[in-house]
Amino acid sequence: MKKLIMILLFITLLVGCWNSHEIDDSLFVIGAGINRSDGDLIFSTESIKPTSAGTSPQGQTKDNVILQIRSKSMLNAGRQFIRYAKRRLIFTHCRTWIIGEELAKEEFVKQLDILRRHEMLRLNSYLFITPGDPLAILENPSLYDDLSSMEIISAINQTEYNAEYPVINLREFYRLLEEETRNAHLPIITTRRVDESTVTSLEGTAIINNNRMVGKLTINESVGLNILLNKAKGGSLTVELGEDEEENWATVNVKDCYAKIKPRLEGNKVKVDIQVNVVGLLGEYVTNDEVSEDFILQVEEKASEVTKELVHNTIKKLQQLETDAMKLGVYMHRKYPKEWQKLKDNWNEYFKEADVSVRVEHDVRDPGLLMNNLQQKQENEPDRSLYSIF
Amino acid sequence: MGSYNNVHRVIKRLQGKKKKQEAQHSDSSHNDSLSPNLEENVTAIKQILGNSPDVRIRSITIPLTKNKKIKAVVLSIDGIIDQQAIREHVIRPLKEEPIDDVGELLDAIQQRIYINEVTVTKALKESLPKVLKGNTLLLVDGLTEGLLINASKYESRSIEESEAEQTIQGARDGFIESLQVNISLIRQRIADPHLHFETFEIGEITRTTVVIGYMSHIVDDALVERVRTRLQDIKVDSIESSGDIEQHIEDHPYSIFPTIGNTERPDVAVSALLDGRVIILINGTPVCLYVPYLFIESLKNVEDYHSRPYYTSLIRIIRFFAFVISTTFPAIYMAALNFHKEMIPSDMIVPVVQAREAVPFPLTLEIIITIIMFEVIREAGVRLPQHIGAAFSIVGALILGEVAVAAGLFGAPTIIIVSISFIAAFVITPITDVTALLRLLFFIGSSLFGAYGLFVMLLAILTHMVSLTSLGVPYMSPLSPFYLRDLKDTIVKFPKRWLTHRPQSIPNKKPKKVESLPETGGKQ
Repeated sequence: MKKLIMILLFITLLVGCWNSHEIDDSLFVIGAGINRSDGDLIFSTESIKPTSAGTSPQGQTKDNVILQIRSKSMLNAGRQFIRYAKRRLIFTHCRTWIIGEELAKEEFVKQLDILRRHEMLRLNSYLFITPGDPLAILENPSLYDDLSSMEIISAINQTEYNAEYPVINLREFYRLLEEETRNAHLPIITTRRVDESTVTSLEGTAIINNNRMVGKLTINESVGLNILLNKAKGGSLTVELGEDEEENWATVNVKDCYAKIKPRLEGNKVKVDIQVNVVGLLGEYVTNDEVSEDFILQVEEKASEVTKELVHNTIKKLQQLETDAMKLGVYMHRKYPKEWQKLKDNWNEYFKEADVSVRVEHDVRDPGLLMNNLQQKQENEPDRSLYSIF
Repeated sequence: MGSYNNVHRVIKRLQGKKKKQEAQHSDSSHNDSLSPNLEENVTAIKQILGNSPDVRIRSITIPLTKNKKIKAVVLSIDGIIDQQAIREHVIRPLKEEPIDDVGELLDAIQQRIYINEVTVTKALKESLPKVLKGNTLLLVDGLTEGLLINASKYESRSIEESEAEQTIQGARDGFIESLQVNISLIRQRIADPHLHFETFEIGEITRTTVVIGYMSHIVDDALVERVRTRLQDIKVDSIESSGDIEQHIEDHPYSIFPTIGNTERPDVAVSALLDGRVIILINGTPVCLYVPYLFIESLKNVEDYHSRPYYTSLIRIIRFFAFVISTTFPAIYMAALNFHKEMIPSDMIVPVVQAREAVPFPLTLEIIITIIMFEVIREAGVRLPQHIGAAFSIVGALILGEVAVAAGLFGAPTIIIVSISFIAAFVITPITDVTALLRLLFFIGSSLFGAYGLFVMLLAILTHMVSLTSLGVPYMSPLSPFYLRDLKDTIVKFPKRWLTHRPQSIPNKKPKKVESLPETGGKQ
């Protein structure tokens, strides 16, 4: 009995009074935005509204609470929020971080130190850059989720079907920055008017070098970057067939894509051979040609051309920005570990001058049982009416 | 230490007093042997038994040869003897023809009686308790010996299926309150001379018959000896139910875990016997106890042995998870909400936060109240007569489930978590009581120290569980100590063909139980 009491006493001494914090004394932040204005940080948060707003007669009201504060440091801001919120802010579910372009063009990565230091903040949250005000993104009415931040996060699961934006979580972001090439890229988020309402949209990629944003890639260039980083696993590619006035095009439903990057060092010149293999299905086509071996070959050829141009443009843009976001340096390091020691200090210079040759091979498979377009079937093959019901 | 010695001294003194009292008691009852005078005996009997209406003393005259007659008395208790058998097989044969009065008269009388179990008794005090258990005492004038004729017949209900343990396949009979019937139910199933029963009489006042049964060629002798000595060492006034015996002989009377199994089904008792266990039957209760009882058996069910192995395995895994969920769900919920908010799934956080906001109580209080309310409703539902019970459950469910949430007194997630926890407990009926206690224990741990508290409690309970024994057999075997062979019938049940041996976790003398099985296959 004495032993038992001793053990129980020790248990209580070991931990002290653990921090138990009631949920109704907390405000759950699920998205945060940071921007720079007149030397101070503008810190905005989107939190869960603890009481459900329900549907008001005017229409759906959002279940969120938006707060904004001006402060020198982020931790400080987090504490100052208590003055407004009257509750402690809990950041454990904050997975969306939106950084304004104003701030991004400074050495913003240093400002984000707290993101990897504080125990509440999670490395599986996602960083975005917005050209406008982060508050606008957080305040923007969402399409379906109650909270804009959650809606943005759901985009990360859809890369299987779309390669037009990169997906970088905080952990990945820091990993990129600590790699040999010391640069990173983040998705750009912006608002866009569609019909009557505004929606948030992921458009393009921000390139980060030396802890600051140095430039942007367009949506197409983002695809190119994803291909080069072997992250483009799905998407679609439309190719024009012939230069007739008539509509004549086909879309390849991309199912897999694999890029092989082989750098060579010739003297002081870096040369790169890039081989991209794309596997796709014939997604749709508007053409008068019959689907045949030749037709498929034609599509493959055209698609390869388009992809090649895409990749070329991306590399050109990256070279302009003097940022090796495609991780060529990592391949160099692997192949020439000794030489790399000399190259790495001025690597971006070498990268800028690198000679790039790209080869793309498309493999279009499975045109399906439906061989030809509807119109042709009626003209040329009346006896195959059995299939026309499909 | 000084105080310790004092306590010991006091205890010894008290024990001494007790002994003296007992000695005095036995002194006063020295006059025990039967008197040759019948009248004297009858007065003595009347004095001891009092004027109870069920005591029947019938005087008869037995004709002897040479026209002599002798007086006799038949003493029996109404309602527990077979009146007809006594009339037909005892009194009538004695009266029909005169008895030859040569040699021992008692022997001659005994020859006449057509009842198997007849014993000669010399002591009145000793024979009266037997009369009270259904014997008939025949006293003859002039003889200092009487005859105890066992022709007992109790009123008992018919054999029905147990309500607590029902199966879809399998036997439909269940134990009843009569020991003889219960033994016969087992005997019907095992026609083997190695099936032995031993009788004990426990309780100074109740003199309850307790019978242990075992297969003498399978059971571990040490186990039988242990049961035997434990039962012999019970010196109490009364045994009222199987629970008394269970709590008097179990290894860990202070543990919340039951270490003695019980069943109302003869087929379960039989399979316990065949595994090398000892069963304990108590007169007057329809419950059969068996030892050793292992924790893993609470996750098993009779039905498992009638069904095919695959679905059984699935159900057993579900039962195991139900146990874990039932005990830890409120605790995990508490830890996640108040201590480790990052544990709440992000997609779930909005409803959780909004539900909590309306509730006026702290989370700990909210969960505790909900748990207690559920226990109250459950208990009320069990105790109330069935037709009221059902109505009450609906009212309880409505009040807690609907109105409390609508009124904002309780959060819907809390109600859901606690009800899942309670419903899961009903899957593992043998240890529902343990589950309820563990649920509270774990919850208290986690409400004080979060996940740390929960894990300390879990470890403490696990340590306690592995240290338990059921009459010397480790409670957690075959998991700890680990018996690989027994895993074929632990969480996952393997096909019957593979279960060729008795469980190793229960000590036995005959490990193999399947000699050979027919070759089967499609094309023959």
